[in-house]
Amino acid sequence: MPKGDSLGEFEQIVLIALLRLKEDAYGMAVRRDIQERTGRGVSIGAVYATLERLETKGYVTSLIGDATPERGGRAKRFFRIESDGKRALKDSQEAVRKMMAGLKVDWRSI
Amino acid sequence: MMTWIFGLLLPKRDKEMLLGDLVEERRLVESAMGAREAERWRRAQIFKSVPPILWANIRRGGWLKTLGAAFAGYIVVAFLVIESDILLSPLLSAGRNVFCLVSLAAGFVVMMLGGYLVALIRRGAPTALGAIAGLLGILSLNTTGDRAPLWYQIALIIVGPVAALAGGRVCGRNKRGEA
Repeated sequence: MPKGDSLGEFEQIVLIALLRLKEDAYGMAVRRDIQERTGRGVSIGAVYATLERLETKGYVTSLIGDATPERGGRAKRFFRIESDGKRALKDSQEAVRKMMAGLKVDWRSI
Repeated sequence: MMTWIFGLLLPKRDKEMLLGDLVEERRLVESAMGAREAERWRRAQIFKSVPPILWANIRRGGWLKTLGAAFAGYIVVAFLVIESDILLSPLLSAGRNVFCLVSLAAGFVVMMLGGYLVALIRRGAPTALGAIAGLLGILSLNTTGDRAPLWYQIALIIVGPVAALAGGRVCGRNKRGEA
């Protein structure tokens, strides 16, 4: 990880959404994907704030697309996960997997 | 109006894209659930977006440093204004209006100096300093009782922000001249 920063839960979710959406990963698509899959009511502001943070960390890059009429003539910002981002996500998932290894929890009791 | 205020909070970089996302998704919600529900959805999105956007602004440091510089500048200006009023107090014998007029002129110079100094720290700080001066001027309106005439209190509300912005402008011009 470039800046020695671990990933928060929402950061991991956003990165996974970027992996899933590939070339179509822009703010609205990311927000909808997270909401549909997790059932959480996510705000577009939270998505952008997280993407900006991930970009600062060097995990994500972005580029501006064309303006379209259905967006009131406004452009889209497309996001792409970089190899540092993939590595950070893998490390975070790995850490959880290692912590859970051998642990027997009866999830039904929760 | 609500979108316009929300737009003010957004960083320049993401403003167009984020508002575009809101417009695009609102259309989708409208086609699925109707205009009324879409409007409710849009408002909820804006409300829920304010805390993370504000927090991101603070993290970025732009806001906090600007406000910090403006408040620090205001404290210095207030101290200097009080000191200059003490120095000018012999003028009170010439009449309250004369004293207020000279005090106002001195206050203008001090606030302009304040605007200049805070602009050296942060570019947007003179605006914040002017806003603080104007707001506090409005809040203290009529609380000074019979010590200050109303024209003076109203003039303070105008002179404070104008002087702060003028100081900021002079600083900006000097900076450009150096560059």
